[in-house]
Amino acid sequence: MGRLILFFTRFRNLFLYLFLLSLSLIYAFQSSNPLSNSLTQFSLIAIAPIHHSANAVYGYFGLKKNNDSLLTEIRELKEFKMNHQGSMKVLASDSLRIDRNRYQLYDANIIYSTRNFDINFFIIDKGKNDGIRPEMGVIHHDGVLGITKDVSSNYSRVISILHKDIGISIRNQQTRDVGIMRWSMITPTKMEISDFQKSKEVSLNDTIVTSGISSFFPASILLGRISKIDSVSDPIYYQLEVELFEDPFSQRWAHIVEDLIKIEIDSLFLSI
Amino acid sequence: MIPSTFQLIYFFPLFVLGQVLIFSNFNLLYSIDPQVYLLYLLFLPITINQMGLLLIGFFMGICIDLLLDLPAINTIATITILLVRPVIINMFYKKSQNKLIAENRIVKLHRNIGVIISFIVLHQLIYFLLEFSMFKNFVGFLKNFVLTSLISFLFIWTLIGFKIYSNDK
Repeated sequence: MGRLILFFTRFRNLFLYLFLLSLSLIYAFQSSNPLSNSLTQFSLIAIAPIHHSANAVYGYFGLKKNNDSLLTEIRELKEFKMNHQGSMKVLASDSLRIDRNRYQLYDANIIYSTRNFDINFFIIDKGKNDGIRPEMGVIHHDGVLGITKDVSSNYSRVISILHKDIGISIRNQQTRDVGIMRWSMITPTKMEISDFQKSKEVSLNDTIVTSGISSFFPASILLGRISKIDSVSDPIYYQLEVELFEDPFSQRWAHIVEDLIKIEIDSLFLSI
Repeated sequence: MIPSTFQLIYFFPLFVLGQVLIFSNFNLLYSIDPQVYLLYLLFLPITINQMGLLLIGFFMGICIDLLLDLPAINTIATITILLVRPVIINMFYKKSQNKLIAENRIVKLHRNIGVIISFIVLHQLIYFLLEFSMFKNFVGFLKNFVLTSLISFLFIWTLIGFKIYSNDK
């Protein structure tokens, strides 16, 4: 017994280190697991107000950039409206009406985003009190940003599309083929698609849009262009590289998408 | 001058918030941020025992990871460099930590460039090894490791320079 105590006393620093290391590893696995809830919910409540205050200061310096981006978007919307006024009137009475009533958008500011190698989240200043729930899609004017995960009363943590576990259901706008797009983990604007069969036709600069198959994102949101086609590495599938139109890290605001018929669709899946 | 316990407690939240709200928002080349909070660890006197040191490092690391929404990589890197701190001291002062304390020598770790570089390089190596655990992108790992170490060193060296200059004045 005396020897055991002596042993523990002699290596107490090492034992303390191992104890602290195991606590850190438990925290690491808890926080990087998209399904874990307890610890991440606590950290969201703790960190969001601090970053919200800091964002108020940093946001002031980014006002000019935000104004420019809003002006560009207004101009694009005006151009779209002018060019499609006739066709919109015709479509408004039938097919478009379904989609128009299906989705509702909420505005939010991005108050903090992580910049890690493979696991990225960001925090937005909208929560339960604003009608936000877990598993809602988050988009910006030129692409998608992620899916809400933890929601507190006033804030939400969003799993970024720059996360190793997130795949976005996409469609090739030219050929209408569907697939899954994931982050390549090289730069924030480079994504990859590895499930387009070689029997399908693919060309450089084909536009990639959301497929609308999942209930997170509406169909036809522009995402990026195919920048590289690798037909050698895999015998069955192409390895495609997609360059996003916008860097998800550089966004300061977002829209949260609520699919109004999601509950109905989910209940159908549950009844199977 | 060796910092008092009051100064160590007072500077703890300052370094944590400074790192979280200022230095971690630099985002040079997407993700390069100076790790200036290491300066606090360099200011910790050698008279603090190893257990106290590990606990301070753990709380500092976990506070930063929690506030930056990171999976404990700062915590693991910090406690590891503090565990090997006696070895680093032995390497650069040619005497063990206990001997230096017994001789009542005033050792300022932040004045030894070798200790500073060892702290930064070792911390960044552990940090990026953990972050790049999948090791898919070796070039990215190397770029982040070298650039973050370099920029952290420049910031820490400048801040130490300011402190020494203001003390001399």
